[in-house]
Amino acid sequence: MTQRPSDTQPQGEGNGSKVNRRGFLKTVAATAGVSCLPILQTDANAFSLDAFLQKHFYEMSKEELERVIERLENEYKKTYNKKEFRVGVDPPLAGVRFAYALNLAKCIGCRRCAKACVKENNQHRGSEERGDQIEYIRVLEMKKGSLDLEKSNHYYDHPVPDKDSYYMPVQCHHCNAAPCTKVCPVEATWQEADGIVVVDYNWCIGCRYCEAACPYWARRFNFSKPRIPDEEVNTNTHYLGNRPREKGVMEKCTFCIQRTRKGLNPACLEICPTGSRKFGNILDPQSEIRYIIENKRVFILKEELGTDPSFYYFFD
Amino acid sequence: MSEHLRSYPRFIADAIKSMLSGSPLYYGWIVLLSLGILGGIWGYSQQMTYGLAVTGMTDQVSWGMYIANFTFLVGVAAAAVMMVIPGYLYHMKSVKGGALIGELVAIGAILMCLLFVIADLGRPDRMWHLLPGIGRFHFPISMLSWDVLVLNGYLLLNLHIPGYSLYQRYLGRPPQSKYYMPFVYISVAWAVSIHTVTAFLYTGLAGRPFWNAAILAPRFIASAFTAGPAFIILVLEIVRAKTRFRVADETISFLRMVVLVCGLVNLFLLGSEVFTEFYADSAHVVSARYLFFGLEGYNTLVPWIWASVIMNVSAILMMLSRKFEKSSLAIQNTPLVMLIVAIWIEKGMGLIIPGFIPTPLGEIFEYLPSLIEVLVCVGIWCFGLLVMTLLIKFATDVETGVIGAQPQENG
Amino acid sequence: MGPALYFLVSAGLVFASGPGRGEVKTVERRSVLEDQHGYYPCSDCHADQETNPKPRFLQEEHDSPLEWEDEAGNTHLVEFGEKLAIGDLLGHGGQTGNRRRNLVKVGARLDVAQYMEEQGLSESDSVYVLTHGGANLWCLDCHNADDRDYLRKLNGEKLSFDDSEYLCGQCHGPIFIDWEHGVHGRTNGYWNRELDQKDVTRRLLCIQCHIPHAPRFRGVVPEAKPVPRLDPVSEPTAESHGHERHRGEYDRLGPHPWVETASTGHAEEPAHDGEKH
Repeated sequence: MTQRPSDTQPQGEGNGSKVNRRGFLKTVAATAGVSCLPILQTDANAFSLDAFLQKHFYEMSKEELERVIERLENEYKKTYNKKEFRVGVDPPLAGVRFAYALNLAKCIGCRRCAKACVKENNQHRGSEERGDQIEYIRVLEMKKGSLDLEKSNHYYDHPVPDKDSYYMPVQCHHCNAAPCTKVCPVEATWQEADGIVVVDYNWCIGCRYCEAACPYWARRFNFSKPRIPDEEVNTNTHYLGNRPREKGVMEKCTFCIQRTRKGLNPACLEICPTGSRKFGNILDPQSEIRYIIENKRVFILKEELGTDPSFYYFFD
Repeated sequence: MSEHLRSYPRFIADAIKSMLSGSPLYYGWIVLLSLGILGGIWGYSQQMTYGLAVTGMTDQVSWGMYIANFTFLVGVAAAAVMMVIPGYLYHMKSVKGGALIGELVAIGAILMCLLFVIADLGRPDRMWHLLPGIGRFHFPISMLSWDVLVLNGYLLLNLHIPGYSLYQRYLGRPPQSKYYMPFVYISVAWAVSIHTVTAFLYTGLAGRPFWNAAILAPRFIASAFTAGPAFIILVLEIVRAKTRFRVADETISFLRMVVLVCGLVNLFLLGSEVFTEFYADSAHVVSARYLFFGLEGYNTLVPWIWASVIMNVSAILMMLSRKFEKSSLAIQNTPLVMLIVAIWIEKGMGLIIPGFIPTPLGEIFEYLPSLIEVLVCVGIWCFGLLVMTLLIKFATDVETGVIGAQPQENG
Repeated sequence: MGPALYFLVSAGLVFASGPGRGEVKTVERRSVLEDQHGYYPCSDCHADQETNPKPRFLQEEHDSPLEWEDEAGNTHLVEFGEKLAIGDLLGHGGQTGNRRRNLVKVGARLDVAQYMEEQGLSESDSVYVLTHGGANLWCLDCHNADDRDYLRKLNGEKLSFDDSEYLCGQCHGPIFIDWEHGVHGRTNGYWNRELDQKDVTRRLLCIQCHIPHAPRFRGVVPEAKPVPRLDPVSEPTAESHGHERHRGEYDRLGPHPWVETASTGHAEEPAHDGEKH
């Protein structure tokens, strides 16, 4: 700020009132203008009327959606070193309701799922000056004999498994009575027909009410513009999934929607060295997931909250 | 009608003229607030450029000072009703003038609330998504959509009621009750609703045991009707000292009574909550323990909340004392300041932050506002106070007959 | 890339029988051998060896240092730290299966116990020591003494090395049933096998994760711990503007090498699938 309004304060001029008033207003306006410049500048760089007026995912016509996807693909190509992106919109598969089961007796807490997820889903790797890296999966080191999350250690850094601990990775539970989708004031997050809870990154206003509502701490906010190294970016994306996000919006695990809607397993399952993670269609009586629910000792985290998750923990 | 087409613009023009004339002290105050606003604008421009990363908020503590101030100010706004009820409904004439000031304070407070919510948004450019019809307004499912409705509705009500009566005063006519009394009735219920809905924002979250308590809404109301009237008393004292606007002693003592009673109820509710949490000593208590005693060496809020408790209790004790009525103005206003600060701590930082600590996954991660966040908060406060100052300046000018449709010369 | 490189499609033994498999396309069996399905070389050395039926420690049997020959004909000494089980010699251990043909035995004797002590290794560090089943299990419970190219079931039947999971299943029944249902162990590829056009879905066999002579997993070094956005405890640095807090741990945010570990997985990141590349 170069001008200080106080410089133009009444200083004993005769009928100063009017003159000073005008001067004062001018100074205020000028200073306000200068202060606003950064806002205008950043908006000038990033602003696009199409992006500003973009509609909700489910309110776009087929043509509008195609245009939006073309624009996004071009945008990503420009940002990520001319890589060709594919932004898919694969719909839910008919007769499919996804569920996930995690074997607590087998998990060794190696955190490979969390890192594989970051790569697959184009999460923010942390900016240069602030370490705000985003991971959807938190692996908790739990004390044997206790299910008290407050006794868990999130930041363990020793060879695993520790003999007095067991490990509980937590990610989005894709609740069928999801507290997060309920609270969203603009319906920017919802549950799809196959059970996946998604976010429309171009509709979210960034109020973070859903983050406060989630009892599993599964949602992450892009406090800054996400940074993904060009060579690591995953170009095979889904509109509601792992396409690169923008500053100021919420994101979360989507069961790797870009993979699972093609029949593939999620990335966290693929990487798991112990086979603790199982995924499938809960409506298919032949599926592994059904076998687990029918035959194993299954429990639901925070069942008392009535969130009815699609994510189960089990022992064997 | 055509008459209004001419007189209303003049009313507005005179309003602006009145707002921009005053004593050097008045100018000094306006300049001071403007400086604060400029600081806020600069801070917000940083936030626009770099995102909410410039704040102290994290995924662990995802709401901070913005929402804390928002929560407190909804209470201040709701408190206007404490004078509207006796003033308009029971026709206590002496209180009516105070009610006008209270409504103007409410306008400033509501504007601050809205600005705090906007400052907290990651994508303020997408606010149009909230517009019913054009966007996708998630009503009635999302409590936040209710909050948007009630806050904006309350703003409109409080613009209309004093705006109408001031306009009529300006024209030198008595206000006709059919044009404002229905809105007065609505505004009374509405004032309670804005604070209840704000409480429901938090109590509706089953995953946050610290907030998920039925007592929260009553406590919100009680603390709002303590801090709000206390704030209005201070404003009235200033108005009394600096303008020719007459504020009756009854108004002040009536409001003091409100502050005292609601302060006691607030303490009682706070006590009930503390007892329930700590006597049962279940896992639910952990956030409250963090707030009052700290957890595992993390205790940023502990001195604040105890300062709040001590100020709360001693202010109430002071006001209960027999000598209080006869003591000097400075002493009489001290407990009010203490109550405002105490409730600002208790309901702002003391309510919002512990709700996030520990996280639903048991992580203890503390929150400290960043410098930019503080600047933005100060800026918004300055803006709200500026609005209140300008409106009250104009209103007192109209009420004291300094300006009107047949203007007398200022000075 | 990973597992598929090691194990090619076998002659088509298919699990079609398990309960509840129904219409779901089944997982094809993988031979543990890369190119010579069904060829096990044990009898190359052991055909004429007289069987010693006296139970004793495994290390007394295969305690010689081993060498292997690469394609250029250079010989390399196999070191203890390396993931080479007796199972590899026998064609078991998936991880080094592609080297098997080049293994040659050399004459010099080695005192395993002394070597382990020198290297500070515990029993569980060495796959040369049988750490499976405690005192209840010894070589000829599983190995067929009369025909070394085969395993032996408890009822005396010969069992091909290709079908080793049935041997495991004799003792570990419930786990075997879980495995049959895809609940124990790893299955990679498609959750929906009808969509698996390129047939990349794989279920790993027991011995692809567990070394038969030392089946228990050892610990691994976990991936880097999460880095929170702000650490409120740390002070802002001099050059920061009050809002940027320096993160000492930032340098850990680089790419994470997929840590290779002894027994809990594969050296490389498993292939995500053909479509993506």
